[in-house]
Amino acid sequence: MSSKKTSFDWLTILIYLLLVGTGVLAIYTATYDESNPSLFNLARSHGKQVIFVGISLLVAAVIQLFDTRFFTGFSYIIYGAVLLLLFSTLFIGSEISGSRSWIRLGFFNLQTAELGKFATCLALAKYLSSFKRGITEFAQQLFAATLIIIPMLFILLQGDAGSALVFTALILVLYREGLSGGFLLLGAYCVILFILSLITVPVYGIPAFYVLLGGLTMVTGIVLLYFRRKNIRDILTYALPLLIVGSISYYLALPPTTQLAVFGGCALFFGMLSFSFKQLPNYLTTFIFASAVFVSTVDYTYNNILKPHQRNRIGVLLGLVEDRRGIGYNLNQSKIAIGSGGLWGRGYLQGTQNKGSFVPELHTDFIFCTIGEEFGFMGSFFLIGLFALLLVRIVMIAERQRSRFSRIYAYGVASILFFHLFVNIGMTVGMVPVIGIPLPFISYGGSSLLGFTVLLFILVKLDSERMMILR
Amino acid sequence: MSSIKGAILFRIYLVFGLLCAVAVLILAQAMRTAVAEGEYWREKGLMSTRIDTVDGERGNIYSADGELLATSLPFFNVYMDPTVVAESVFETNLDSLCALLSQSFPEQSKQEFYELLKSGREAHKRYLPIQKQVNYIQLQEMKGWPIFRAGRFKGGLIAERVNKRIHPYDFLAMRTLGYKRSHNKKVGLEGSFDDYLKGTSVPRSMYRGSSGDWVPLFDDFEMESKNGYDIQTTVDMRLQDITETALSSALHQHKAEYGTAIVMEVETGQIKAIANLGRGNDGDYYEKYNYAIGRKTEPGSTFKIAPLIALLEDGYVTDTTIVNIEDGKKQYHDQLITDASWYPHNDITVRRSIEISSNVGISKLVDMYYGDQPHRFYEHLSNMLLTDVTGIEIEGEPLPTIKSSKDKGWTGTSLPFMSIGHELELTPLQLLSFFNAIANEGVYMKPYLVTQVSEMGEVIERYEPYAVKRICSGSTARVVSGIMRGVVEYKKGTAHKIYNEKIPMACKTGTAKIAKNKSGYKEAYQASIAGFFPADDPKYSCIVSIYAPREGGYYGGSVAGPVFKRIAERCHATMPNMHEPINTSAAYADLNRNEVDLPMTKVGYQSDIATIYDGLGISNEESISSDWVRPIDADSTVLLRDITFIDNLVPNVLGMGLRDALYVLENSDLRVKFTGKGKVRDQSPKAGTRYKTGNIISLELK
Repeated sequence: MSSKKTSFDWLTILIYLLLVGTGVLAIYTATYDESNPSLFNLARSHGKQVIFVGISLLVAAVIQLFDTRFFTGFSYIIYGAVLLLLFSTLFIGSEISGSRSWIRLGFFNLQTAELGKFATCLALAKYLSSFKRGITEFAQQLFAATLIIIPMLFILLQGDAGSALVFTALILVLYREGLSGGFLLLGAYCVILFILSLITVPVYGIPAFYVLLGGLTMVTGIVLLYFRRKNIRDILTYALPLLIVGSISYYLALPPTTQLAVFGGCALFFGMLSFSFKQLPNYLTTFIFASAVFVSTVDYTYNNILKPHQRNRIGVLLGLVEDRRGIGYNLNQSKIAIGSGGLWGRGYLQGTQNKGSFVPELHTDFIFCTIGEEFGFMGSFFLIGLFALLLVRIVMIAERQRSRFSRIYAYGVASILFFHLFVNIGMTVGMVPVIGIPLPFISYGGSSLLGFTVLLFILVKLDSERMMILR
Repeated sequence: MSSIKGAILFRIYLVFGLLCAVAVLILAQAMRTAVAEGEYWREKGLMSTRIDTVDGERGNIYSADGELLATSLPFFNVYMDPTVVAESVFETNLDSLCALLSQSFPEQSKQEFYELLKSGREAHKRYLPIQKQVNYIQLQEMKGWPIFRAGRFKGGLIAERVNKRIHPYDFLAMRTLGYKRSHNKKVGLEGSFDDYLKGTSVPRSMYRGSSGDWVPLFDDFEMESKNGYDIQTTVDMRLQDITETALSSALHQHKAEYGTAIVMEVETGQIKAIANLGRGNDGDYYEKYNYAIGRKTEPGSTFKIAPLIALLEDGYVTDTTIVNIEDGKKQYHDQLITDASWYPHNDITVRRSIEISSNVGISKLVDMYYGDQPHRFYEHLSNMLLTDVTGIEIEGEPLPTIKSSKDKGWTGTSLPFMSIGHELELTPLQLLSFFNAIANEGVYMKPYLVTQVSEMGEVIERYEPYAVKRICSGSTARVVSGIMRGVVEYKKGTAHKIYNEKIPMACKTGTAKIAKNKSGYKEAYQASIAGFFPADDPKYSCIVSIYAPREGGYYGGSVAGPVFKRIAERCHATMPNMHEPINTSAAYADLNRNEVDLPMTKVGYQSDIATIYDGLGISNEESISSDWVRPIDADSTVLLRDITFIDNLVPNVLGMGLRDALYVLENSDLRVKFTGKGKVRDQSPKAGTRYKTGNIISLELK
């Protein structure tokens, strides 16, 4: 077909190997048993992980033998097959710790959600690559969103909310391919509103709805006053509620720092929004109204729709819930482990918190703690650095592709890895609520390692032939 | 076109920026946690987490006859967290709680408890020590007290389980059984068999929650701690009791510094009794140190048997060879050896020289035959295993001090002095093992203390008797036995005092001046006797060594001898296998009352038994704190010894009739199966085993 030779991105492969190796060592220390220190013990987690690494390397190699056209041509079929698998998991899957996400395969349990990730990336790449100018039309955006939402829905039904959330990261891909930045801002805004309305509730004992609505009104007023001073009617419209809110907050004697935080945050946001939306008054009116509705549903969502453990995880992070033996316990122990490591760590296999298994799910979701305790901040620094390097490398790879398909797929890979890293490491250091998703390449688990390997090595394959084809 | 390119570039940069920003954010947070707040989290980790080890329950130690010598029982250290108690509950009930506390634990007054709890609560103390080692029943009772009855999280009662070692026979053979000393160092069998007894311990992660007390992190364990194995010793409680009692009374009588006595089974080398009593500050005697195994001293004349064997084996002498004892005085270079007492004849047989323990006689013979070949003398001692340790299971056995002619300290007078048991040191056990070999026709048995290790009645390891080697020919052994018998039976023999026509005994006495320091001997003696009985068919060998007696003489024959005699007699009297039934002998008709064994009832209910003996006109002595007693023959009276039952441990019903055994066992909620009739001869599970309600116990009656 072509005389141009294929070229593998060895840096990516090297980083991959380093991460996987680190993973085995971390799992070994997380489940270390002094009386049984053998490294190749298949009855123990690290031993199994070594097997999974072997299988993954094999799979990675096999992927390189495929023709790239297989991935482009069969992407919808792969996607459809995986959807079917996800769907059937709802019925034939076996339930492990509350979620029906695994299919028993004799020697090993396959977590089907892990396959959903690369399949969705392939399908998304296939669909989006058909538009030269990006997706600008609503129908296109809707279809793309549907591709993401269907697997998400199945996984949610399986009871694995964490893995489902991962798919939201693919919005970054859509953004890169032309989706309005407003959606990103909107999402961020909703998260912030959600948090703000929650933290104001129990701390000061007044309904979040009023505080936020009042705050919004006030800030909007300020913005309007600033940009449209000439319109006296507008000023009046917003000055009145402003006064009311002012007197309420005065009456309730809110601490000034809270007022500053709530109002200041909103002010900043509105400042940014006012640049995005040209027709300020109309949009703003709608926006405020929508926000108000959103805020008023927050309490209901939090108390009635979220499951107790989800409520707890968010509550603990925001300091709403004192639950030391439950989720708060997790977070505390995780921070104790990382904090105990200090700058240089306690040394490999020397972590007392690791040994005592004080951190729950240590060898899976909280594996980062072992690095934190035994290698200290320097260990964390290098691991995070390695991941950051991998992500940056993937984005670079994406941008050097001639094929749109490859580029979009690369962005998908980057988004998913990014979400995992941010949420997983974030939760161990207490920045993000506890969401049970693994740390890619490091956490114990065959499905996750295999899933991420396939995800990454399809990219390596696509990239290796970037010079040959233009699709 | 360029604007589109710009827009795309903006998006790329934004994504890049986002990645980097998040990475930096997470790093910053990790840095804050690990470095800035590191000390805080470390502290918090230390305060809220720890890894304990959970020990398996320590195994039991049994005597050869199945008595429980050591077992572990759970106790509880009780603490209180007064801060969790509601104000109103605390105020209204504190008074009555403190009253109950001081009533049960009178070391602290009600007022003191009141102060403790009140101030503890004010100071937010969450772990106030209330009482250590509360037993299970008391703990259950405490759980019903005011405040405490509100439960752990509202009543503040914290109970931590600890296992305590219990010795049902108190000090009996205590030092040999062993115990835990400070720094966790265990002595005796507890130390030597610690690996078996302790079970496996597993780490258990403990977490301190908001209630302030430590709770296990996991409810179930993948790895359970395993209970320790039981060990069965060779010690026979009856013999041990006899030995310890006899030794104790002699020590009291002579106000000695310490004494030790060992009884060994000739055929097997099993140590049947081992007593070590040292004088306490209060003048009473306690098992303080394992003198029998751990302390070597100059044996004195008891050692003469070793050179005697050497001379006999080499054919230099026979028991009838004549030796001139030179009026009991002989000069070796600058040193004079004298006999302890004057003997009317100078030309005496070798046999006689041992019987009267002539220092001159033996030293002269040894000097005569080995003076020019001292290495040969050493070879003999070495061949008799006197230069080596016995290898008993207990740690701390020293190597004997026996010089050879090549050693530095060897002088021209070493040989004669060594021949009479000076300038050398041995432990009592080392010497006894040697005597035991003579009793055993010249075959040296390795002494041992543990016969088997078992888990829940299943034998894990069994220790069989071990014949180390033959130390002399059978004929030599028999000749030496005969001579040793003469020590008792010849009327001027050094141990003639202990002669008993019914029990032939063979022994050798020793009276050694105690070497206090290098400059010489101080006026204190070690009186000892070693030998075996019955001499015609030895069953037991025995050594008694009494150190520094202060009153009532100091000779081996008169101080240690009676202890030996007492042990031999009591053994003989209580061990039917040692003699023919009395009523078949011709002498039966002439026996007076005091020499007849008193009739023993079954083990049983104290008042019943006392009534029977009273009715028969047999005096009996009660030492009663329990309803159940074991009758023991004490010559002219029957001692009724208490049997105590411990909750949750299988009671000892050995020796009981079926009716009593059923009563006791069924009251303990055990289900009984039995075979045979008569007295309970065997029970399984053994006494002292932990059991659950409804477990089956099988009895064998005979």
